[in-house]
Amino acid sequence: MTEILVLDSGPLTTVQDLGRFGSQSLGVPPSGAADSEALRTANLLAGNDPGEACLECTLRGPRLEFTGHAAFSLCGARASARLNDTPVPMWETLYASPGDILSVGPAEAGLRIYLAFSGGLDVPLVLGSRSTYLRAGFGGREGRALRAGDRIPLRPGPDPRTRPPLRVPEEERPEYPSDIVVRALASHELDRFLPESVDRFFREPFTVSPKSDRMGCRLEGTPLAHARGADVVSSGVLTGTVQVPGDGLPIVLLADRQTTGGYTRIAHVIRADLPKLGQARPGDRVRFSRVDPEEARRALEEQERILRSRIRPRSTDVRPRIPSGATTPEPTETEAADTRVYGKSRRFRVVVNGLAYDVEITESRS
Amino acid sequence: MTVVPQPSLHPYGDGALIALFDDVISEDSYRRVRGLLEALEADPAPGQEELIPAYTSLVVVFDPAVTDYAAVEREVRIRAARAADSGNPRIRVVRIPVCYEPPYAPDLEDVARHAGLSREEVVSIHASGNYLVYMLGFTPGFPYLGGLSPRIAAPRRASPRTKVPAGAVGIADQQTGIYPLESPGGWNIIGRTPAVLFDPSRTPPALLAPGQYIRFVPISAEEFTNLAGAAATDAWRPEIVEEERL
Repeated sequence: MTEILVLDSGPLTTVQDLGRFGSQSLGVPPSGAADSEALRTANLLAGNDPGEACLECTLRGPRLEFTGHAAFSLCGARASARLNDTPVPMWETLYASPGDILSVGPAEAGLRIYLAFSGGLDVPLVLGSRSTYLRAGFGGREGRALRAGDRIPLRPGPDPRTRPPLRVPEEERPEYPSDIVVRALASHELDRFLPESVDRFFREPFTVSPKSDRMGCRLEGTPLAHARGADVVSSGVLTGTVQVPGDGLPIVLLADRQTTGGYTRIAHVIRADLPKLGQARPGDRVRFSRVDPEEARRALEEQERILRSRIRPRSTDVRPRIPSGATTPEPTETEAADTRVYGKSRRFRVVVNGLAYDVEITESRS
Repeated sequence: MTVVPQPSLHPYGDGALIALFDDVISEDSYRRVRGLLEALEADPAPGQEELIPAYTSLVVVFDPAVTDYAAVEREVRIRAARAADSGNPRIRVVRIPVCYEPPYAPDLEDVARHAGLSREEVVSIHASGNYLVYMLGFTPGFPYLGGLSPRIAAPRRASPRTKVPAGAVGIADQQTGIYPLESPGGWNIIGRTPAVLFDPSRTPPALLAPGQYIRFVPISAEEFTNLAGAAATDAWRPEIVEEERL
């Protein structure tokens, strides 16, 4: 069983998956990756289902030692990384051997780096999720950020050396600019703001405050003016809800937000654009572009399509060789480097662009 | 047949709908929130993911990959028209023991002074009557309660505490509540309960549920210690009794 040994955690590294849903009526926030797009991509590159538990590293990555073989990948904020002394790329399937040390540097563009490991991180499910909720201290590793000395096992699975080498082409990776445009739907409470303020909200950029965290992206700028006070009867709020307290400065609620809120809402960021806010750094500028529900729907469809379509095989097979005496039954390597026999299954079905191909493998013996 | 007023329905981002029943808090409008909640729990709209009830509203979260706002609005409207207010004549009351003695009640004196009452009078008023759990929020399991007597309302502390212990019972303005987890807080702390309000390893994780009532039952410091010990091993949980709705 491979474990990840934390040598240096970085400033804020937590275990996150896609979040904890179904308990919001009990006051339990969803938590989960602030940038779910990067987390899902990292998982797919590591050969996992998109929602496995990963590390979310804020501002700077960790230094980790692998106690066994693992496939892994780095997505999200741009950072330099080394496996032992060799620089390794982001957005690609990577392979680690026992004793390898991975060092991930500071985020150079974007805020949060995601590290996925073959099998996913094995921490207990709490209310259906492995995500860490720091404020209440549950989920992830004992409800807290990782620290040096932590060992986290990977969930067992097939030999990670058999996972196919994949990558996202450079031109299809998110860029995390400092000028961020997010699309938003108007709130039903627009009439609680002066028309001038509504107009300005959807036109002028705001600056991301250093007080932002996983609960909310707090914004600074010219305060928005309420028409009839800032407080409303508390109701449910969602990730992406833009609330405006009495000081007139908007807060976009993120993954660790409360489940109810009593400030007037001016807008809701569309689901497809939430990952951009998860990568917003203090000092970045955020502008809200008003869209209609139809555009929100198209944006979400487009995001789902791109998520998988941009993942391609790597042109060269970089998988480590599995020694012939290895006890693992699958796959067995044959003489031809690119012909592998996966266990006993001789036939399998491949779907490419919606067309199914039945493929038969013939075992070759020397 | 009485006509139940219908909620106004609005899009709430690209994956949710909000049903608004009123803009002032009352048990009457809350019963209509419960009515729709129960109808959607019993017969979910296609694509419905989660329901978040609050004082006068219900948020219906749906999966925009499966359905859209227009379809969800139609489904919610059908159920809202069918739903009577939640007219169950019996209510569930969770009896929450509270020790109102030092060292568990650091701000009881301030609340008493503000109210012009004795400490004993404040306790007696706080521990009389049922409080409706309108919703849980703020931190997991934190109950927003209705029913505090205006006679013992008191403003928040000028300077919030950085640490309020789990189980602390507080008053802030017209509200009273219980801190389920240790957290910062600015409420006046007038007592503490040994009951565990939130434990993510339990099913359900929260002791209280929206729509229940609670009643505070004064206990001594000695009883607090005994119950806290039993609560820690889950050998004791607060009693829940059924009562007639008044």
